[in-house]
Amino acid sequence: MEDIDVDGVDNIMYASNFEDADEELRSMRQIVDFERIQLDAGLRYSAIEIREAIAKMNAREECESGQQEQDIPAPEPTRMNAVDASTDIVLFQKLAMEKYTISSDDPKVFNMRYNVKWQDILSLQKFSLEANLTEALGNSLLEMISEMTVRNGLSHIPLPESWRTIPKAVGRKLKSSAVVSSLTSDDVSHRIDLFSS
Amino acid sequence: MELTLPDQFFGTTDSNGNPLRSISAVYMDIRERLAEALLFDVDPKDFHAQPIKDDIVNLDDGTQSRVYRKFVSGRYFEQLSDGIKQFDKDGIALCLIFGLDETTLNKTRSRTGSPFIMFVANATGESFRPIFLGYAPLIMPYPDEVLHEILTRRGCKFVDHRTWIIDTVKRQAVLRYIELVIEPLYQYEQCGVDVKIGTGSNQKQYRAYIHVSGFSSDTKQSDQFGGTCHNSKYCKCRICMELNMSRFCSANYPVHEV
Repeated sequence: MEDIDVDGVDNIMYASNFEDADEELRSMRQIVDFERIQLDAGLRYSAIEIREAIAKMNAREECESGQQEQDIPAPEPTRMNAVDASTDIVLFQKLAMEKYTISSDDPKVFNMRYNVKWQDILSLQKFSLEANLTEALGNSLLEMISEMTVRNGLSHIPLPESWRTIPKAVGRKLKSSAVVSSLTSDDVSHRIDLFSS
Repeated sequence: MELTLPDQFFGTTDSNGNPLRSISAVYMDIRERLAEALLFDVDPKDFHAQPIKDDIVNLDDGTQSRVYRKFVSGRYFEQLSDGIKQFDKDGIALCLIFGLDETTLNKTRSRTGSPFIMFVANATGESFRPIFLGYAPLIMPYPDEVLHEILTRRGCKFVDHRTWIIDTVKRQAVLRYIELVIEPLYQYEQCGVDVKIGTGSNQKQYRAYIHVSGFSSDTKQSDQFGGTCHNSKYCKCRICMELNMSRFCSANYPVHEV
């Protein structure tokens, strides 16, 4: 049997002149080996049916001759035995446990710069929220506390000089988000050491 | 994080000559959120490392059938666990479900962003709760009318073309955001990661292999990202043409395995 151009068979169906198409189909039927493509030569088949039968025949013969491409095997599990499990999450959990179990009186962690006490900052911020203090009134309050301290001969109370720094101090983060996003397990263990020291 | 509007479409300045505002969003480190949630929010008795296979019911015709009441009783979790057991007999599957919803965890319905949340699918009962990860950029820095005006000024005359550009920019911004949030978990793909569940004497430790096993979203977000829509019972998924999009359902009615 001659090689049959499958696309050519399809083109017969889309020919503008149907009579020519029928004629070409008839000529195609003359060269097709119906026994080989396992169709009944006595029946009238459309071009599509002939095309499908030829495609099946080609696939069948390639399979029999061993020319068919082998299926790509499914990928093996990617885990390598030599790789140990990561401990990042456990280190994060250790850091979280440290953070949540620190006493609020711990001066190592909660004292701020210039010996300003964390509790004083929180008390002042809470009062400002309840009294709806403006920044100017807050500065006046800080000046008044300083005057009263000096007037009574008491030692200096470490407080911020400007009221503006108090909300900033309350919102101060233990670690910046930029650091967190690039945190590695070594960094975490280093931070845990810093916390416990 | 900040994403700029693509300059090949929108240019670099607005109609007043000012630099274009960028798309802004915030997110937290997913490793830290996952670590704290597993430690403090998940009760060890509610955490299932292995599939639950005992949800068997007797049907009227005398046969037995399994009922998928929870994710950990489902066939997908079984297949994952079996696959992991082939190369690590001590490993477990830690399945995460991500969600993006304007109303969840958004009491004030802020228009600046929608919460991006995560669930640990292994947890059941009260331990199955949303874990906040950040605010996704669902809202553009300009209203759609302004974006259309910018595109028109740059010579984009057709409405369909402009709409396609704006929708694509929105979708890519959110997809990029989701990728950025989940990216830190990629490094555990080959080796797994040690996790501790709960605190105190009941604390358990596992070697977990993390799988993203679900994504929950509203109609609007599903339509925007996945091309799916489920407004009514007559509306099919555009991808699979399935009427019932919640084939795995644990909310009100169980899905029987026939």
